[in-house]
Amino acid sequence: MKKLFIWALDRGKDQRVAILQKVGLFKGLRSRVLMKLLVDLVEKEYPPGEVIFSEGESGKALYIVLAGSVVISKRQNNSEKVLAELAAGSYFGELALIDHMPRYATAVAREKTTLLIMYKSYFDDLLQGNAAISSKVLQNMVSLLSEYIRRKHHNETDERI
Amino acid sequence: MKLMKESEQKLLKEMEKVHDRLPKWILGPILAGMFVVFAYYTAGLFVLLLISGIIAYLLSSIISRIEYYGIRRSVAVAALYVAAFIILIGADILLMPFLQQETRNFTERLPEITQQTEEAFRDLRGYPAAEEMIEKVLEGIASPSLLLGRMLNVTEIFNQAASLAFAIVLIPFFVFFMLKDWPELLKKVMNRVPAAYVETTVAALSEINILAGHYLRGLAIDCFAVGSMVSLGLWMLGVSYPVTLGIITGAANVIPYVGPVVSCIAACLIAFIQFKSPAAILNVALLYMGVRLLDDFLVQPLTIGRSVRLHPVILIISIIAGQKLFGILGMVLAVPAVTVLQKVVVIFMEGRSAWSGRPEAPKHSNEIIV
Repeated sequence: MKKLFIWALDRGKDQRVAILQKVGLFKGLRSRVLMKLLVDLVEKEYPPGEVIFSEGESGKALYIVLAGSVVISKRQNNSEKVLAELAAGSYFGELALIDHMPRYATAVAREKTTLLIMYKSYFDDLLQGNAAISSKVLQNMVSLLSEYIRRKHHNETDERI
Repeated sequence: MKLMKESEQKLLKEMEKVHDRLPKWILGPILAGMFVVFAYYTAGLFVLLLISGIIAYLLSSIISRIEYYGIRRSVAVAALYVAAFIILIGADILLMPFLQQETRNFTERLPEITQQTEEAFRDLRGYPAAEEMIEKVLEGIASPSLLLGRMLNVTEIFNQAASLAFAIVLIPFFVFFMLKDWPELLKKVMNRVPAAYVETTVAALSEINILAGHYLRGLAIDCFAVGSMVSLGLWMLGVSYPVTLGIITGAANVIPYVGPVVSCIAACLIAFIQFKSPAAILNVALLYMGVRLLDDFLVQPLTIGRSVRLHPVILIISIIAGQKLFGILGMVLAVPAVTVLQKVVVIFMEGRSAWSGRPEAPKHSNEIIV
């Protein structure tokens, strides 16, 4: 019976759940909830060099990197400044889930990249449907935002010194 | 031989030239036109695919729930089919004796029911407007040979049986592959969607899923509530077959406006035949109106809620159009289909205005929050 159950399990999904466990936004969520995200969310493969979204565009989706890598860059004085390079287990575009501001930077697939896309309405429905998930995800989001603010404050103080 | 080859090559070159000259956008409308023509000429198959699609959609939430436990999708679908097979056999063993009994009872009582109907209609003869209609109805009842002749049209029966058998075999077949291959198909389609349209496509998919889920769940509860209220009311009024009529009313409730009216007429007819007085019609009609009011102001806001917001005129037009295109199935699907269409159009319009507007990025932050 146990052998049959193991045979019926989807190994590929287990590996992907392990990647989702690294995502800061989903810290503390049970693996069944992460499996739900994997089943429900839309997956898309981007060829190397394809622009995922551009700076200034309106956007309402969060992207999670499942495989490959993504370069985040911003226009500064007529040139593109690379802000970060994100590998599997990273995510970007999270502010689109909270406010209606345009995209702050541009995201480009560096190599062949697989992304999991979460649209705002799914996120809202997920939070409304389950208080436990809702409180964990919002807590994670707040702590990540406070970390950004602290880091920015440190950078500004360093610059002044 | 050589000549043939040369002419073939010439033809190929000509075709390539034509291909190069044609603008690329023309391919979309041509494909859409071909699809419409194909759907028109294979309407029967199209309806089968549509029914399969709806069944697959309804079952997909069960499959997803099994998948949440890490089970492979193909295993989940196979398990669901095995479970459905066992349930069907069980239901067959348990329910068959009851159904046979009901059918036997009805066949035995048929002459009595016919007589009752005749008597009830004869009582109405005093009303001039009803006179002609009653004549026609009585003619139909009085000439069993005509009725039998219609029922025993062998080719018709054979055709019906063949298409039913076709449906019974094909629907589970289609549903199986739709359930099993949907995620792979979606992945392939998504990989071909240009990056600029990805978010709008995901938005449309997500909204449709949420909307359809809320609508279907709400509708199921609403139909159950309406069916139960009608059953209880008819039972209290002493009308026969209250449970059957309740089930019919509940099922007909999926078609807005038209369904409740049709089921009300059916119940009024049965009450009239049973009690042979117009007062019975009034009682049943009042009961249906009461249930309708309760449904509109109490049950529906709690169940279907705001998931469907259509203007009554658009609603009626879509139901009529659905009926013209796909019959009863079209009437049932008209509301969710038009609601989804409306939502998708809104999403694409929002997307377009967002792309054309391209607002400036905020200048207050310098972090990797995108």
